[in-house]
Amino acid sequence: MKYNLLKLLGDLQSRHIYLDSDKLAPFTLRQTPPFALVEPDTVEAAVALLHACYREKGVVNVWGSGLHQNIGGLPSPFDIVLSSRGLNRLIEFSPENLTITAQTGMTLAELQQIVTASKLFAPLNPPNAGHATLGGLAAANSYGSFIQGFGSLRDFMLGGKAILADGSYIKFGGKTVKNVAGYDMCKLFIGSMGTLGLLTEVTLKLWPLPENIIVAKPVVKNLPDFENLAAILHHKALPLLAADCSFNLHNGDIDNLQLHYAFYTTAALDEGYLNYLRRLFPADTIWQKQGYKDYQAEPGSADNFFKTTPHDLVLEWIVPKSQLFTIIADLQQASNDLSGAIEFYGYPAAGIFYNKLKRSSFTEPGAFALALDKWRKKIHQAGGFLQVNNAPDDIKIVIEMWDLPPAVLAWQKKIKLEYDPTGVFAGGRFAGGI
Amino acid sequence: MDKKLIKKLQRICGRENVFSRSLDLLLYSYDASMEKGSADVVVLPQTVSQIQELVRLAVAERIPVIARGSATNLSGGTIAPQGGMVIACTRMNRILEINTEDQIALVEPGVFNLDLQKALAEKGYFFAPDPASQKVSTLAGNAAMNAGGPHCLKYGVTVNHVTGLDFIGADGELYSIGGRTALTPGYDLTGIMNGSEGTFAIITRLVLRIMPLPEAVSTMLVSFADIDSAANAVSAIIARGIIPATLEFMDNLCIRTVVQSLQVDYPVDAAAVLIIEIDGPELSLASQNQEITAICRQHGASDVRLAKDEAERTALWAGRRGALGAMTRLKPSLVVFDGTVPRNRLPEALRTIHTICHELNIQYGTLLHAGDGNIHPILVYDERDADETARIRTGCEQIMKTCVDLGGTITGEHGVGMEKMAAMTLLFSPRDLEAMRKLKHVFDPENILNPGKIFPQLRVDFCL
Repeated sequence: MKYNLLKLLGDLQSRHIYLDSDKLAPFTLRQTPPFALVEPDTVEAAVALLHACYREKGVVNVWGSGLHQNIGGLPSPFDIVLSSRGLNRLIEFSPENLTITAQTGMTLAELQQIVTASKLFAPLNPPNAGHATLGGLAAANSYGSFIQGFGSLRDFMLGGKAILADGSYIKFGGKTVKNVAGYDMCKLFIGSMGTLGLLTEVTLKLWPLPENIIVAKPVVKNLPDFENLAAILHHKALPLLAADCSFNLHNGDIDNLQLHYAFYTTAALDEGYLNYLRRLFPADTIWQKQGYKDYQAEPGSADNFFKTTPHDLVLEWIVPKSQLFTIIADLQQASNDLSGAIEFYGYPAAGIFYNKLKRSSFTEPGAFALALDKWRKKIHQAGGFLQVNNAPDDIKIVIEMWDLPPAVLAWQKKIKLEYDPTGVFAGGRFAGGI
Repeated sequence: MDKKLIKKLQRICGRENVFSRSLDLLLYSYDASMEKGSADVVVLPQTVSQIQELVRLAVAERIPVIARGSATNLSGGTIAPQGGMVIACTRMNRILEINTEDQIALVEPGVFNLDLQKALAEKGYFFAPDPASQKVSTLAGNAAMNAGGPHCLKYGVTVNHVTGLDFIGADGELYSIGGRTALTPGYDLTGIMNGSEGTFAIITRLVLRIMPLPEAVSTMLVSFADIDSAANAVSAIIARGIIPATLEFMDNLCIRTVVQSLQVDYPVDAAAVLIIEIDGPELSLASQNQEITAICRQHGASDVRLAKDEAERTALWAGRRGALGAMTRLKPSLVVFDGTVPRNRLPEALRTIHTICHELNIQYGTLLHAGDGNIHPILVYDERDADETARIRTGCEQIMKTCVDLGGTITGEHGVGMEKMAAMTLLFSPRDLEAMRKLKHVFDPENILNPGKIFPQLRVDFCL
């Protein structure tokens, strides 16, 4: 096998192939480093690599910043890490059209720096993801609290280019917001976890940078207070930028309940608008006015929550909005069975919450698997989904990290087989072992 | 069609819901495009299981299946070029649930867009996609074509507002994808299904995202003495950081035609008007209106008229919404083109379209969803005049090429259908098209569902 790979890599005659162990060490997964790291700096070089892998049955794992590599199940063996970092050029920034086209090795922070200089922004703020690549963010469909005001990448990726498993280089979509010429292939790649192709370029829709942000930090003592506030805000068409909620649950008791709402406004609106919002929130709410830069610079509690260790379990559940508090109450009940605390972080206006637990809360992996099964049933009954984003390897072995209905999984397998019949793109981590 | 087969269809759907006489078939042989093609039979199912049986029968008999709503599409998407069975879902038109707590609506495929809007408005909600055909276009049709509409500038197109779907696949099985949640895990099958123009499946139920109505809305009509100034004002408004709810454009021929036809109070001497609508909290509108007015004045607006109340607002919209119908007064046939260009290329696009139509002696008026760069030149003609029809087709081709050359696309919201199949090669290489074809192969390997659409008929073999 390695002989063929050497031949494969030799045929490429690329300057950007690394075989030495210290270079490969950071890309170790399941205690096994890859055979080679390839970091092409041109699309042509990436095409050549994938074409060669297709021919020689090499398996690649696409790697951006590595932020998302622990998401999902245990990875299947792979030979080559294909780093996208060399493909990091700005292709076109058009402030007049509110669009930017960039190669996917560019980081989110680099992109935001370019566009905010023209008073625009991409409403994408996954925690700790400033140095994540655009390709990684698209592959994982990562999002943060801005999903509540602007949707996810699914809603503002307009087009792109990708290299498929057989080395064919394709483009799809375009650079205009409205475009129905052919199938919407953007949707195929977003959230596909790098299993269908190497995304090399994306075009994103941008928004005007909020001139001012009004931050509301309501003081709520318990869940019913939070539920009442959420109900008031729910039916209002408010220019919501983000809503964050966090609390801890231990032996059924909730503590440290924090709420943080952000609304975007123009400078001219601030006073009147603030008065309007005041009427909706409890009287003792703490109010702040900030520029976008200051708002972004504040150390976020989301960043802290999502800084995980290999011993942490991170669960993500998404439910219909009406079910949010029912599910929290169910988990409150379930927490009585656990020895440790459950940390909660969520985007309540989208019905999305995360739980962080310590591995030590469960004596053995099977105990967690049983608890997961129980929680999933409740969340399914509520019309939602529960997946495990992070888990130690001993847990990953005994559970299904993803939560897909069987019929959907069957379609997913058909799509994978059509686009990557020989398995050029490493599998294992995605649902059903894809 | 074979009589035995007709009998089988009648057994599935009832005699009164199966049509095979030539006169009936004629009624289903066209849509809102120039394309024509007669099916062998038209059926109007009333249940999901009937659709399921129909598709299974069609698969067994290898008959093409063409799903159809109200056929308001402007691209030949619901025509039956190879014959076969049209399944018209217009009788499955119940709103199954409106749930403002989950902010979703659950609907059958044949519900008219406007019927849902009316039902939602009573509860203080709306569904953002609002194609001009919303009075009669069906919601499954909106999803199949990924329809747009004026409010898409601020709120996005149909795919951004569909969270789940049920569909009958090409194997006759019923599938459910997505759901009531903001996101669902796995490949985005719901997203892929939107805009697939009925070539993947037949949609039998939709879960739609609904939104609270804005607290207040303000609409203005702005007149310009020349088209370039109006187009430049559009870019300037967006560049200022204002995203209106709608930003619509009408040229002089459209203005005069709607005034004559609908007696609306539009300025007939203006070269172009913009209809600009903003929404949001009541107290936010006055300052935005002032800013927009100032920008328009800086760009040469001759008149800015703000609707004072709901009646005036409705009157301002009546002209825009009725424009397409009004243009049929000029000649018996029309074709509405649907290219999109980057917003800052609008002036250039409009000038080139004028030159094309002038040189080909084509009478046309222009509507734009200007904020999106989505151009709708309405080319009027008499389809009995072969020469004029040929010139129209030439004009359409040249306009599509212009949009692509300016960095845009051949269709912003009407779809490819039959009308723009050949033009797909202006945008996409054989490899790009082959990548799309793989998706078609996943969902419909036997090419039973809506064949003869989207892809150029000349298949270019894939090569590495």
